[in-house]
Amino acid sequence: MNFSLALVLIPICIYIPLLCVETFYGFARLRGRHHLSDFFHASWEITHTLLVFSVNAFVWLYADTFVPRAPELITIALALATVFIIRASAYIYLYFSPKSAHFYRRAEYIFAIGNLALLLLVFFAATKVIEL
Amino acid sequence: MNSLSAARAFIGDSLAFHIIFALFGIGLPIVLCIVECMAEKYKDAVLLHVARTLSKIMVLLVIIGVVSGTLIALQMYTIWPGLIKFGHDIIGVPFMLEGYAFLIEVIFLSWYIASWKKRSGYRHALILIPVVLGAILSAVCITVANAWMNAPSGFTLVDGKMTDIHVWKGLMTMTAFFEVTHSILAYIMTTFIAVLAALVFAVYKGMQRTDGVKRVIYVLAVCAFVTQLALGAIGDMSLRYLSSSEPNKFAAIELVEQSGSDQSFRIGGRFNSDTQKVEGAITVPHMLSLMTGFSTETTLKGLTDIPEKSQPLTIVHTLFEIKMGLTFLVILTTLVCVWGAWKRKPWMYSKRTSVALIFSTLASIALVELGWMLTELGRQPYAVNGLLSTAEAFVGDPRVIHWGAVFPTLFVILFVVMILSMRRIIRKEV
Repeated sequence: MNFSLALVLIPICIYIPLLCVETFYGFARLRGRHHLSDFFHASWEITHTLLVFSVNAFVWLYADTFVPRAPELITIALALATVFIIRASAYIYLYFSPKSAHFYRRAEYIFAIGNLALLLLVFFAATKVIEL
Repeated sequence: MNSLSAARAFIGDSLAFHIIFALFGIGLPIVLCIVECMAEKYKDAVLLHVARTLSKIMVLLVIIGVVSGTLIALQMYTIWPGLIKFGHDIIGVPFMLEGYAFLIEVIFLSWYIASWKKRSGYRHALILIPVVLGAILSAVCITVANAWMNAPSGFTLVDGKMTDIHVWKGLMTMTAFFEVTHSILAYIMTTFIAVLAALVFAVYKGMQRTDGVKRVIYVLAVCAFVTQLALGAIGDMSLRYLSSSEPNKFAAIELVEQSGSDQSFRIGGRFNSDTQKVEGAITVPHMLSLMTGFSTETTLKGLTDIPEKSQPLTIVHTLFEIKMGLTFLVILTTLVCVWGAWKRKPWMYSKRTSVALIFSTLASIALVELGWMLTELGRQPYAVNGLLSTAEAFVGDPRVIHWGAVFPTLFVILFVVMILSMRRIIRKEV
């Protein structure tokens, strides 16, 4: 494996397990097991920079491969961004609000489903990129 | 609206949203370091509470910055691939480095937040230094890339492709120096004003007015004023430099009609592209040449000498004038606050001062936005000045129109959640 490829793969290989953990806790919260996610802090959200790392490395180091195929990735990239924003809104709401807050339960559902959607979209995007 | 206009509006909305959080990501660690150090120095429990509240708000703003920054990255890569194709050999370097700078910032930010109970005083505040350095380095990387788009250099263009590339020569330019210093100082100044406004408002609402709180308010007011002076000096130098480095943008900002010396300074007015004349402006003869090169003989490029297809958007003239008007109001408010905080005047903590400072905060944020609008709109119709048009950089996909409508709604949702969370943090802590 060359250095450029390592810069693309290593961050995403760390990110995906972390996202899986977050997804698991997202669903665990729905079953009332809040204690499982007690260690989560707001700064956990910063793990998403790993995804940006990977995307950055791919785009800039493999620009010649990426640029001609960019139109094929528009929908998946913007869908990923949409889910990302919705999920983050739910997370912020859950983290900074008391459990008695009005939309708390709904936010828990959005967070869990958002995590799963994000995981699927990252997987789908990775498959698409490998095809390139 | 065609797909190119939609894509431009889309990236414009996203950048305008992101910049608010990016600026606080840079300014808040600096302010927090000051507040926490002063809390330790004066053994002030109220100040320590303020520092803790600010740290929570900082995390909230950084999270939103990460989310909006990710959207911009994805958007830039998929909607503007022409820019990557053309400039990846040079701007790829700062974009990749930015990720590492941000990593430094977030690692130490997480450590700082996690160690509130374990560490205290100066040792805890020291963790903020790498946070500040990471945040500044991150901003430097992005701004340097933007400066290269404004004044591309460090290569030879052969058949529309860059050859003989010198990355650092291309990035480390005077344009980059002015853009970086001016923007980062503006972010820091805005944060000083915002925290000053928050503290004065909190005192007005009943927060204990301890000696430490009064001193922090004074320090923040002085810091904001000093930053404003530095901003004024750098802004003036950068505008004069712009007349030679980006003469088209300068001509649009100052409404220079025809090339030549003895240029008049114009207040108000607009450039009529049909008649190629400036209409409705108040003119001060010779003044623009005098201000730009300290001589009436200073020659400046005029809008009529720019081919019509390359003419920049002259709306930047109006934006620049709004920016100058707001700058004057913000400086005036800060100066009054420095006086009030120094002399410990009771009106410093009144409703009127709170309102004036809240207005100054909003005006300072608007100044940052206007600054970036001037930079970006003034470069149009190019993505890379004079070399790559915005239309060439665009992917040319009509699907962008639909997505451009989705994201502003999502930004509103995220903004509402942020306000709700911020209210909860403040009510719980202060």
